[in-house]
Amino acid sequence: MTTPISATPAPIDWANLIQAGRDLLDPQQAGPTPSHEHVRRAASNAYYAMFHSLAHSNATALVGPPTNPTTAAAWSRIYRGLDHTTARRELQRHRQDFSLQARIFTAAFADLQQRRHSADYDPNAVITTSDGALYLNRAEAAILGFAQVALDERVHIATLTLVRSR
Amino acid sequence: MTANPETLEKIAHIIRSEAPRYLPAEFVIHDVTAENLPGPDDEDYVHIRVILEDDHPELDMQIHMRFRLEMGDLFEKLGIPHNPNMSYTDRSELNA
Repeated sequence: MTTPISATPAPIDWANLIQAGRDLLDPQQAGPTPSHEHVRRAASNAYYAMFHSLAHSNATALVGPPTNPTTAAAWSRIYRGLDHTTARRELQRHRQDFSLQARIFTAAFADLQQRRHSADYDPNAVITTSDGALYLNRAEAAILGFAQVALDERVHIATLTLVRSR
Repeated sequence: MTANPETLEKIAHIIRSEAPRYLPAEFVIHDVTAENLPGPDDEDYVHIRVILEDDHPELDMQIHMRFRLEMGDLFEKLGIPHNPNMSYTDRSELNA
């Protein structure tokens, strides 16, 4: 049995991921002192907000908005084609060629991917509440800046992050 | 990439020296540490922690991002092959 392709696939909303992370740190929702697990999930959300914003940018830059089953399939394929390691390495490799906002995004992507790894897997890593809040704020600022990057540069970044150099 | 102890010390020293040029005066630095941590793809990364005295205003993200980018350029110029992956923590959080 196959899953039918939606005519209008939607991105995983980066802003909702940021908000979900903030909710985890909110004393009114998480208690006066968020647990280590709440803080780690918030840090992880910060990176995933960046990852999904890039996946969305790539799909929209290369395919455009999905308007029918064919473009929906293409859009979804590009969206799902983003790989964490390839994206980080290729962004880093080409960062000196980028505009300021794309360089800011590149730096945040690499840093938050590393911190996500610690938050999710390293029981010895210290992730404080301040860290979690900082990472969420940084992801939000970097994503909003990246949204201002010109379409031709976002197309360039899409090809860099989806296709490995040989 | 794993940094040796001398490089970690050098990184912490650079950040401690440069941070006052970026952070407003209300941010008082207690200490700066740098350590190797396991990262994605079995590669270690260097994490820098700027430990601040409590009761400072919220950090302006534009200031942090400019500091991060310019330290990246400085590290590259100095031949330090690590990203300045920085966090800021209140002193009381580490003692809690």
